[in-house]
Amino acid sequence: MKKTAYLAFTSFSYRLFCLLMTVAFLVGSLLANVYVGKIAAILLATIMPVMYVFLDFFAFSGTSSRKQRTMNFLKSSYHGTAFFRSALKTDIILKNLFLLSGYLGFIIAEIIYYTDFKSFEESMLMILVYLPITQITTMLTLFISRRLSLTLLAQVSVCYLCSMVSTLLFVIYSFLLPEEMNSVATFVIITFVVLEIIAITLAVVVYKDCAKGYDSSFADT
Amino acid sequence: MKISQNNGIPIYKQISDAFRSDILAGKYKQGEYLPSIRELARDLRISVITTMKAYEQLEAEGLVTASQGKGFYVNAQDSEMLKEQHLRKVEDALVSAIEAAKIAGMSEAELIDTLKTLISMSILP
Amino acid sequence: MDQSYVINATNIKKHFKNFTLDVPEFKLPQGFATALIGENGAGKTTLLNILTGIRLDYEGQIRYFDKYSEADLNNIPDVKERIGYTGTDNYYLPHWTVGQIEDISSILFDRFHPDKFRKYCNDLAMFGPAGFDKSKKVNALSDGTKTKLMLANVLARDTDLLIMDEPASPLDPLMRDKLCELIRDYINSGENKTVFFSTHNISDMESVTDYAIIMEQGKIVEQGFVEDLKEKYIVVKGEKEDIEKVRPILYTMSQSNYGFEGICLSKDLDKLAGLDIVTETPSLFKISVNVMKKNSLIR
Repeated sequence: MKKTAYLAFTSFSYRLFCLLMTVAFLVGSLLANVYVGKIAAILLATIMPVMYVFLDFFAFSGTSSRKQRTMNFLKSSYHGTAFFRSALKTDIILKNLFLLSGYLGFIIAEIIYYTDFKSFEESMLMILVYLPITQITTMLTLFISRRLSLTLLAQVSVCYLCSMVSTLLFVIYSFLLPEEMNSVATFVIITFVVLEIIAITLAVVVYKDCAKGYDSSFADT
Repeated sequence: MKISQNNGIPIYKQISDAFRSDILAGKYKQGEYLPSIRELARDLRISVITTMKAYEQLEAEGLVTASQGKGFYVNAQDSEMLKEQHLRKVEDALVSAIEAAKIAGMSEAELIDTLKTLISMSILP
Repeated sequence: MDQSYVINATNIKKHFKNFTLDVPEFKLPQGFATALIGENGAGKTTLLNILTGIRLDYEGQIRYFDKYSEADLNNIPDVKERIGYTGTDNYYLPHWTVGQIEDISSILFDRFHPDKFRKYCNDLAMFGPAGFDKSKKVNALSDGTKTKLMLANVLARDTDLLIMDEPASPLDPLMRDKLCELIRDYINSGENKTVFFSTHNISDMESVTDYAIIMEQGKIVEQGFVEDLKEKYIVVKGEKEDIEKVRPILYTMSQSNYGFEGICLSKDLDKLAGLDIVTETPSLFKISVNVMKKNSLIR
């Protein structure tokens, strides 16, 4: 029985860590919401991208770099290109799902400890903005870290950069937020749609950039 | 078969010599196939082209015939040809004896005497 | 003998900033082991990468197995399936484990046999007495072991042509001997199995080399079946006083206080008649070094 490209391309320990991390975020955000409060969401939004980008180092580091010629083995196979693309695609989709499931714990806590609709609505609106911002941050940083063939230490600094990006995005967002509560919901939903489009576009860009890095390794003049 | 990498004799020649004496001695029957080129190369730990050259030499001498896709088989060795082969061997040996005699400064009569003595010592029919 | 060729390439050109690969004609004889010999930077790896489809930015036409074009290499799965390639660096991602490589190979190659792969890994004593260790990472392997891994990987597939870039260099003497044995077994494993490898270790590989191609500065400067090359050239040694007489006739020559030694084209040998010289059949190493010397920038 042949494994899928993703399962073969990434190591067992990488997948295990990703999974453990996701479970930790799910449970952690649930507990944090209960014991700390809604402020936990902002923690989640800053920590999650950092951790997933950090882990990415162990599977895809430097894969979209234009100078690196690391995969002659794949290139010697007819199926190499399709294999690499398939692994990349699965990984990008999974990373976004992992980010979503981090917030899932937060949402579950809201449902279990439901008090009033206003508070619930407020939380949901918050997540609607936080989720795409985390996705955007992750994708932006992945783009950088996969382009450069980094050492582990350099990867950590890219992660640091990553958390700064997300903070910046939150600051910009808070300035844009309207004063009156009535228009907040509409604003948030529009923002969500716009940000999610950006996030998905970025995910596609990261995927295509990696695929292009591989393709361009067949030529170097 | 013993192959020496550094005794000055080209490896292909060592191989063809070995097969020639085996064929002439009747160790290979008429129509029998020699080991395949690649198998022999593997067993003797030498390159394919070297065994190929050895076989081609045997073919040129008329000892074997190449058969498309099947290898080399041993030709009928008629007694006339066998005799011819042995005769050539005798001539070769005598030629080197003459050369050695020249270097030693032996006269023709002395050389013939020596040959006669040697013949009388061994038993020829 | 009508020889057929597994690869027929024409007008292969690749320009770099300070270097041009220019091969008007390239033929790889089928059913033989061919060595690609040349100085560092002669263009060996570039040529191998072009032939294996790892480099696509070049001019020229290539025919594989007498029926496929260079475009088919990336359009028809069968072509790359039949060609096994081992490289030097940049082959596996450094964080891949041996187990991953086995899994990836099963996906990448339709005719990859995991059991054979493990057998070769064990036969080559890749992991010491402990046996097959699928958790071992590529970056934890020595260069020699990496080469063993590539060999096991490529031999575990059903291929018709092996193209290997410097397989002998990182290997120890015992393993080089084993490499020769593996090549002979491969050649003997079926009709028309072909091996093409680049090497600096000419002496170690001579006993398995049928055809030799010598490259210098992006060009093929000499090629032929080894037995023919050994007839084409002859080693000449002689006394000091004859040096000036032989200099214009010899192909290459080196001199010392005691005399000279050089290589001469066999057809020129009668021009040396009457001189006090000894001749001997050259080894492939000697032929290669002298042909390289003749065409090299090294003085």
